[in-house]
Amino acid sequence: MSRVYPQLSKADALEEVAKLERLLRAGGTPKPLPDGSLHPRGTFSDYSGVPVDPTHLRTLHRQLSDVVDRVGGQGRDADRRFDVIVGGELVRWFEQDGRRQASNPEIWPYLTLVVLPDLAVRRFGTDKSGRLPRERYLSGRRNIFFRAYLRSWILGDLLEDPDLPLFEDDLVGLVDRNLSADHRVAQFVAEQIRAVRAGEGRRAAVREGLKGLQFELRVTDLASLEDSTARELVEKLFNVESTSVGSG
Amino acid sequence: MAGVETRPFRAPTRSAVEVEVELVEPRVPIEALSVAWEPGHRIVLRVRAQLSSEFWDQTDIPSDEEVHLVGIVTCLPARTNWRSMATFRESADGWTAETLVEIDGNVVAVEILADGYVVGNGRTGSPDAARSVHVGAKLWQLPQPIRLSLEDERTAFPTTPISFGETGRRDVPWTVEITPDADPEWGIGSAIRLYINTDSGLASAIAEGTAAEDIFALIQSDIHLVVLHRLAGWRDTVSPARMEQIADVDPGTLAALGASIATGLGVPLGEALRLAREEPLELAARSRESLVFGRYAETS
Repeated sequence: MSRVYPQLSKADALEEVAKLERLLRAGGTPKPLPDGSLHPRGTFSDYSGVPVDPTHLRTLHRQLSDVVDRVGGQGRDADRRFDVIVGGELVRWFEQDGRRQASNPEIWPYLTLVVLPDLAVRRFGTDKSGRLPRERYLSGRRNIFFRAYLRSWILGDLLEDPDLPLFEDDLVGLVDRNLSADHRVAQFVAEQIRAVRAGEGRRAAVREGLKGLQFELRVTDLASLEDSTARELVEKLFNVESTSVGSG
Repeated sequence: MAGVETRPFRAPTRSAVEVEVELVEPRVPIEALSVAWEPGHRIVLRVRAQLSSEFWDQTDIPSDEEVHLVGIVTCLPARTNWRSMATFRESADGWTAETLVEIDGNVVAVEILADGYVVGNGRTGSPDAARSVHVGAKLWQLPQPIRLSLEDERTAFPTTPISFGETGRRDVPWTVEITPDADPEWGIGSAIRLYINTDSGLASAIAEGTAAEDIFALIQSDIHLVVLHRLAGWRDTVSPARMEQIADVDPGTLAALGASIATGLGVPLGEALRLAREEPLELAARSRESLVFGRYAETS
């Protein structure tokens, strides 16, 4: 029997963000499902399965807390490890509970604010004025956990490679330019980004490559090409020396 | 202003290809998908296309060379797409192709976008033989993808079909359950739910809305009793007047559902809550009366 996850309206989610800010200002520690039950304003708009129960959500929280505890440290590298490890865990979790639930951007504010608020605050805490970054907590592709989930789902094992020198901005480009619906191309692109040598020109080269790919996708059906042809084409796009579009 | 398309190969004019997209599963017009589709069920789209006779001249592709129709459906929230291809063949109807795209209903959410391309070896016009062909060229594409919403905007009562045998529930066709913690301010969507027993012969008729009217009257009556009984449990801490205030502020609350049920029964909310606590059978009778239970057979 599939499970259905609850959702919060935008107004309710904003109210929860404000509550979380007040709690943090008062020196409190956010807790999962603080009232011990589901959030009273949550709704189950999907009627295809059984509403998820608080015990199951607490298990999700415990599993994620366990993996996050292994991350440790601070700074950009720790953030990247947080995203990779949490994303991987969420992909495994939703393989059991159904990807359709995870595909819906509207379930993520509930998870972020009601089920995983302590982990959310750890990844994106308050600024100097005590405000939390709204876009990381509300619905949308910048939500902390939705973003980590999507990256892990799209890039898979590549993300767990400790030597993978993918920069955060490159990743955002890859996931958000809608290339991600074509996982084979996304994998070829990730390989190419990895292959671009570190140094001053790296970001520019990657950006040029992604721009070229955007154009190529408008005129070429990459998905219909053989693996070797498609890979070769993507390789050319990330090689600034080459400007060829067609192949013979 | 019309956009000017630049493609690095000879492309046909907009009118050289005609594409039709229709739903095969569920078998309804495209606009009705959100109403007809049950989450979890697969969706199948048929993409059909016809090439005009000018297509070959305009693209400079010989008609004995294979050109394909690609049907592609993308679900951006799920970051996933499904595609299928067919080769154009000549028949009495001209050059046509048809392909079915099957979408995994367990993955999609919010909306899907359906698109159609004609793909082949584009001719670049380059005198250099190595550069004269653009492999996998998108020769033609729908001006814009067709957007199919998956979200049914109609307000439906929270309902879940489930096996009562497997989940330890009583052997009845349905039951109405209320979340144990729900107070008058809880939203209806999270506070109360109708479960339909998939082990029962009545399940599909209830889910499809084809069961006898009296069955639906009994289900509604159960909802009346459950909601009022729960609210009555709060009567000592949340007064009926306060419940009415909550209902006025937010019509999506349990209190609002209770107030609306009381109105339907023709009694003030306070009296409905008193009946729920002190005279449950009287409340059941009033509820059934208000729902004209047992009189459908007489009038039909």
